[in-house]
Amino acid sequence: MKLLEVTGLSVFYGDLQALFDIGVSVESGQTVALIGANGAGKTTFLKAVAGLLTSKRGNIVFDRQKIGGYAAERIAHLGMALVPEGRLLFQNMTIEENLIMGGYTGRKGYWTLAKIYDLFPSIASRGREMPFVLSGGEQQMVAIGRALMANPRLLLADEISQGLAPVVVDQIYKSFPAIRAEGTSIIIVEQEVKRAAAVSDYTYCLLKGRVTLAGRSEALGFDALSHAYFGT
Amino acid sequence: MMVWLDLFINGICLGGLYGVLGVGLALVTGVMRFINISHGEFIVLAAFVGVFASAALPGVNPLWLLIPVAALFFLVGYGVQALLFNKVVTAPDFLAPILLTFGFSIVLQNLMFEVFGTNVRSLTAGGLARQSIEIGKLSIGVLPLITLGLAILFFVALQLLISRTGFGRAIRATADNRDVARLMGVKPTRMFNITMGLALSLAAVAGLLLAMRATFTPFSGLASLLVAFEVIVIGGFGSFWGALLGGFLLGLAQLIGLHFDPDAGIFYVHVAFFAVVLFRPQGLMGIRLP
Repeated sequence: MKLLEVTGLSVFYGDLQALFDIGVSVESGQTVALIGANGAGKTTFLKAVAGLLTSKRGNIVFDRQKIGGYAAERIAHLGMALVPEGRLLFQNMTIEENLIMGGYTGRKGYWTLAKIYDLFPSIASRGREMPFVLSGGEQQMVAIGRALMANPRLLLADEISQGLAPVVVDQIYKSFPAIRAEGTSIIIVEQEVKRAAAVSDYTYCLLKGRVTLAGRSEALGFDALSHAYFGT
Repeated sequence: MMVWLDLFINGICLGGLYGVLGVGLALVTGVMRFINISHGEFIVLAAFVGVFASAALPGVNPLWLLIPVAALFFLVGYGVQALLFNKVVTAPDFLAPILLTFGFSIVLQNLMFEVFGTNVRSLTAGGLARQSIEIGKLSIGVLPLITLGLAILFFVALQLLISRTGFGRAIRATADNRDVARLMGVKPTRMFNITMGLALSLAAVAGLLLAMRATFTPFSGLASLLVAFEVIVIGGFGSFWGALLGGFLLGLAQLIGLHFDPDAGIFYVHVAFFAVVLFRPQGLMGIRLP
């Protein structure tokens, strides 16, 4: 079953067009990678799907509902959660409050505070601390945990490895099988092409606001990929 | 010595009231990054509602009016925010909210002038205003004590609401980052409506209590707004307890000033404010920004 079906999506920042006729679809339980250079429009795509950007054209169908005109808060209640680029934790709240805030929609499911702490043991004992005392990797775990607390059907993860040491990134990606095991579909935005291909079933490559390549992740050839990525 | 103790106690009692005056404004400013210039007019409007309700209900102690008037002004705040203020809350131009609420304050002021006239009014608290407790040679008014008690009660209640409840968490999330709060499913405009409701019910309480100790006209809003601003600047923006502390300081400054200079009015309030801004610009409880 298709969980998300985006067709002909164009997004505008004022007079500038950032995305052109994007088509992306995500099957239930699938992990999809979105790769592309800086400024390709990956973050714009996620924000548009999540309802944060309103200046857009095209169709977005999520769980059989047309959500193109819905506000972000309404889409959140339908079961879509975004881990924003740069983590954006609530700085004036404790770790635990950040996680609880993630469960604001009250959607029931597998993920609870205890389950998040099981998934990321290194933040388990630090619920009462403030986000700024955590390392970048731990902050990223809180950001992912916060999104999971909504028990989403679709998790959008924007650049979760940004600025982190490779060993920490490995640690974070180790949590993905557990997330997928609950039937959650995932879209990851990732700069690192190899890692993206390794964790995803399907890959889209964006270049200057257009999809330049789409295919099953394991079948992507290096030449085609580098052509799509750099536009050479 | 007795004089000083007397001044201190009365200053604190008045200061508690000033704290309530400021905290509503602080709440709105902190949560919405929105400055409500018409806050003072709502304080005066609440006082008028109190005067007429009190006249309509002789024999009812005006302190009991606090509850229905506060409830009424919660609805007023919710409505004004939903119908009017939300239109500019997200405006990219920071002048828009200031212009809108400034204009709104003028409209309110002139409406009150048109409807109620310029007579100087006050709310008589009945026998309560004259009662006092004698401790040794010290005489403390019952009404100022009740005012202080209520002020502290409201501060504690507000603090608990914001720091301990799910609603308070959603408010803080919205204040921190509106878009991220929306990703969690929070509807910011609803949070703003409730916040303005809370702020104006606090303004209403302050308005009634002020009207019990001093006179007012439709044009008194500006003085209240000024005190409210001074309270939150002194306290350090966004700090509730700072606002209470700021209120205490201004209350003390006013009464000590009046003791030595009986014609000063609230001049020494402004002097105290100026001194704090000069020597501690981040406010009493504010964090010094790097």
